[in-house]
Amino acid sequence: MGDVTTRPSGPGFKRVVVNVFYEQTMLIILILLVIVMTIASHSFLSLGNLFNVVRQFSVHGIMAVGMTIVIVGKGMDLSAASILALCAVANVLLQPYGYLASIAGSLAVGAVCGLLNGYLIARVKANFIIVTLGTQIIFTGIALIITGGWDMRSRPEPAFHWLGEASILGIPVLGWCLVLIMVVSGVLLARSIAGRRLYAVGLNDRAARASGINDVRIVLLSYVINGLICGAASILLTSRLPRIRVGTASDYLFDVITIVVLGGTALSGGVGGIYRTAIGLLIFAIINNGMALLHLPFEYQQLVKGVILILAVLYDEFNRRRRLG
Amino acid sequence: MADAEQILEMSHISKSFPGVKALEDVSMSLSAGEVLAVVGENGAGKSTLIKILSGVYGTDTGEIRLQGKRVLLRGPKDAIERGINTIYQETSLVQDITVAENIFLGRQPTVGAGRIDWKRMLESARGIMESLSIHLSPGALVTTLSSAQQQLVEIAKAFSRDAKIIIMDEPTASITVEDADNLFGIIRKITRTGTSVIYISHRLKEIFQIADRVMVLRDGKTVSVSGVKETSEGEIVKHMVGREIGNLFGDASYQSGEKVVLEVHDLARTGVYRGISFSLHEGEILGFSGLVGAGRSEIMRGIFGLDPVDGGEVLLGGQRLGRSSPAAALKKGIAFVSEDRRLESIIQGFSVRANITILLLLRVLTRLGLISARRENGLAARYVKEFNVKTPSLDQLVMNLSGGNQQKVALAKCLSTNPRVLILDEPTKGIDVGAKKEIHTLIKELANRGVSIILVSSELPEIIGMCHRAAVIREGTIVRVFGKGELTEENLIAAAVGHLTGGE
Amino acid sequence: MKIKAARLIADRKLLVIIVALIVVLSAADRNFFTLQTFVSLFDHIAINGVMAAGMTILLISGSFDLSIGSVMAVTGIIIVLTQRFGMLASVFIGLAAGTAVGALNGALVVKGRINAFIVTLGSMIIFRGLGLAITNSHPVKGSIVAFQVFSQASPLGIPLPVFYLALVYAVVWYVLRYTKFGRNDFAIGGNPLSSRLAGIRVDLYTFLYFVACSFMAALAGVMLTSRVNTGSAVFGDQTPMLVIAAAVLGGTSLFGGKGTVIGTIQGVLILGLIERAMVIFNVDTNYQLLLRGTIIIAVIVIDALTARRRDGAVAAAG
Repeated sequence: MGDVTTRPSGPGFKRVVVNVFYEQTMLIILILLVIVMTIASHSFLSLGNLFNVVRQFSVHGIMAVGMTIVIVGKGMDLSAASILALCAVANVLLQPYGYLASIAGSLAVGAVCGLLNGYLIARVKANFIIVTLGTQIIFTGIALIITGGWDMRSRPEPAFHWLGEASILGIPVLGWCLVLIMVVSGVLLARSIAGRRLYAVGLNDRAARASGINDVRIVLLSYVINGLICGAASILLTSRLPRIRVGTASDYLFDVITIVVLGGTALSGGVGGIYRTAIGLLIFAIINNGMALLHLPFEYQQLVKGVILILAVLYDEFNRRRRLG
Repeated sequence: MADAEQILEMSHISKSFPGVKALEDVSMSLSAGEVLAVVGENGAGKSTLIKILSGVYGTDTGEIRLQGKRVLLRGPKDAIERGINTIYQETSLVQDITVAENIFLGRQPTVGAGRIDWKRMLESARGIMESLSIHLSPGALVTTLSSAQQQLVEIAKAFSRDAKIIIMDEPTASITVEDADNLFGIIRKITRTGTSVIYISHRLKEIFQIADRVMVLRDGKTVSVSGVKETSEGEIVKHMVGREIGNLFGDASYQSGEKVVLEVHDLARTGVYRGISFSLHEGEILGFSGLVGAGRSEIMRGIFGLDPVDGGEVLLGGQRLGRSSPAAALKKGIAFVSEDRRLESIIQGFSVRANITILLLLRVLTRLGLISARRENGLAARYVKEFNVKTPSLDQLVMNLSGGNQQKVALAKCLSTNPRVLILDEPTKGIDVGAKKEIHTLIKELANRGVSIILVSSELPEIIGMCHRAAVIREGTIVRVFGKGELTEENLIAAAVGHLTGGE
Repeated sequence: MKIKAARLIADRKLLVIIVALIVVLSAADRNFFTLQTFVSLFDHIAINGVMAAGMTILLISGSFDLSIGSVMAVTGIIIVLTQRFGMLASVFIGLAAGTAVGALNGALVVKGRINAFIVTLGSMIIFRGLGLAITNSHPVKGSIVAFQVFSQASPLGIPLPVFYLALVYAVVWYVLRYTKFGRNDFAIGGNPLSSRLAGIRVDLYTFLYFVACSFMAALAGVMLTSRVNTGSAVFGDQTPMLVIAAAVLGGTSLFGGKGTVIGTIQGVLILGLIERAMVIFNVDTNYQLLLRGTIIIAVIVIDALTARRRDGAVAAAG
């Protein structure tokens, strides 16, 4: 005898409206931001500025896609930035052997890194925080060993140069890549069988198992895919920057997590998606751009970003409790 | 007996949950130093009674008096402070610290400024245990003790807090006979000091060994309270059953098929169940009855592949089911609806549509290999209609549905794969009467269509009304399999508690 | 098979590993087996050791703190920046600031009921960011040379940090064994529900454990800053991982309820010996990083394979 639930089927209308509001908060904030920025700075809406923003944040966006996938599966990859660094190193090293080799190399390295993470987390069932913090050290270590601690000079072959600098129909190629990856991932996450299973596992791995879903395999896959995406991101990164220093990658982690959480994908798993991450990315990019346009000193920008992360996390926690009723 | 000697009095206690009356006008009294046994089948109200006494639940009506004074228990801590200690089946000790520390948890004796007086703590612990004839070392780490020994530590802990009442919930469930005898000796020692014990168990033989009086609950009401010397096992069983079943189940039998669809041989899992063998025929509804904790769910989970199995085999349609996993079982045609609706049989955070289609994703694909919204909606809508699931839309999150409708979604999900064998674990637990009826009708229709069904249930009327045959599980083994003519409440209960009248 | 090897770590056989390492190192370097080496070894591990003691307390209660590296760095920065108020005052202010972070963490976890990972990750990021902001991303040099005495002075030939280490461990050992504060730590980590029912003020104690952990990190910050007379926001980058690994290696479980400082110091010592070994064998700094990461992973994996989770079930291997 006990936990019987005979709630009326469906929350009241008022509750529905409130729920929608909270679920779409970020979209509303985005719209408000755009309005505010347009008023605050006349150069905000200029094409030059917007394209700059696209180029600046496309790598962030791509990594956020990978991170979203892992987070939906109720995990997180704190080593993502170091995977990015390692793949970038691989990319530069293989450039003398042609585009195909360097692209394949980046992706392969990313996949292997993701495989290690996924195996330790899904199969061995170690704590994902400590594992990915540990692999972060390992991957950074490997990258440092290879580069000897020095910067690597990327020799942008024409093709890569095109990736980094050119534009199609006036929009930077980087932006197209970002959009392409987002659309493909978004569709796959929302509409593929694996995607559906990932959401199930993220929400309730016990129930997912009872439904015949191999939760170990799906979670493993999510980490591998994240690794691949970091690999892809590294290709674009090396095309943009003439020099790679292993240290620079670590900022990405912080930013990428902020983006995903801002968008509204729940850290507790099973909720959210690429669409939300896209909104988070836009909000993040606009805020950063705004701070730059308003000439805010660097350290204060960092501080603002930190505050934003905290607020985003609190918002996520608030939503989590609200969803549980 | 004079009123003042009553340690505990519960008068006209009622407690309801949405849709369910757990306790109705229950009254009882308990004297100092007495052992009162409480018996009843599943759902009779025993656990609600315990939870009320241990402060977890409040009551809707009625009052509780401790030593003549009316009290309102404000929570588990309040109950403990008033002298009501409960020892559950799952240990509540802290594993990695010593016995003495567990006994004195939160009130370690100190010397001077907050320094723990280990010497005094160990000695006091030893003293308490000796007085109860518990022979354990106070400095031993709890994790090194057996579960029987840990139980004794819990008793010592309760005793050391001057418990006036110790409630024990199925204390002998997982201990040996020698440990049980040891336990009884200790209980006798406790009661001699004036502490009372409320002893919940279904093992009638033990009750007659240790209890002074026995109280029988049924359907939330008190059926009888008698001194142990004035009654017998047979009478107790009679009191546990004996209700009007009525015609809740509509038209009864249709024949089940001849063909054997599922065979289980000697299925075993160490420490949980053993020697499980039975066959299931086409279109048959085979019930699994027994008391909570007997192992029925575990057996089903083993067959379905959710939990590991240590021995035996399962044959589906004559073919051996190898090392099973839920995915493999589903593919071969076995579906399982878990009794845990909140955490296992459906995904609470998913929509109705997503839950129904989760097993059938391959069938709703477009040419590109992606899930087609149109096909998915179509599939889900069909089932929602067929099962009469009350939901404002397919998008509705399943957690917002009533229990009955959630169960229908879980059933729809399992049936979407057209299984040959459907295992239902407590399918109508906690569901309102209307939905219950619908689900029962559904189950019968399925059986009519040739689906073989295993129905695990704690509700005897359900077993009797729905099943062709019923197996009774007791402590991990099949005691009996009753045929249609033998399905009576008395038989089922008797088998479940281990009391079989001769000549059966 | 895996479990048996893992038991080796969980048991008190850490000494075996330590002895083995010492033997190997003595063989490789003739000058290794001297008192001087051991003293300098303890001097070297003192900073991480102190932090590990604090982390042990927190781990036992079932939480952990990722922000200790940032706390250490920020404490140092604040000390340097307030040195104009006098040396002792600056140390005091720094300690207070570092401990305050622990209070903040604790409050958010206990009262805000946000999980420890998010809170301490956030703290780590914010306070490091704060540190970078205050110092404009440049290390700041201390102005009071005398401050270095805290680390450099060597009464009886033994550097002060070794004394601090010994003192901290003695205190923590005592607390964990003989005080309610310490014993309740095990209770709360082992079975928080029972602890609550027994009247233990779980929330208050958990808050205090966070404070204790941060205090140790602040202390480590004092020691580090005094050693190099510089405050920098990049100090302590990998510290949380190493410290947690040392504690887990020493037998403290990430799942709570178990742990000893004796084990932790052995864990710290082992990691210290490995670092020394890497120097003696001329291992490239970058390989050192790799090795460090691998050890952390290995330790965590073994803990995951053998630990008893809070629900009482032993983790199944894979």
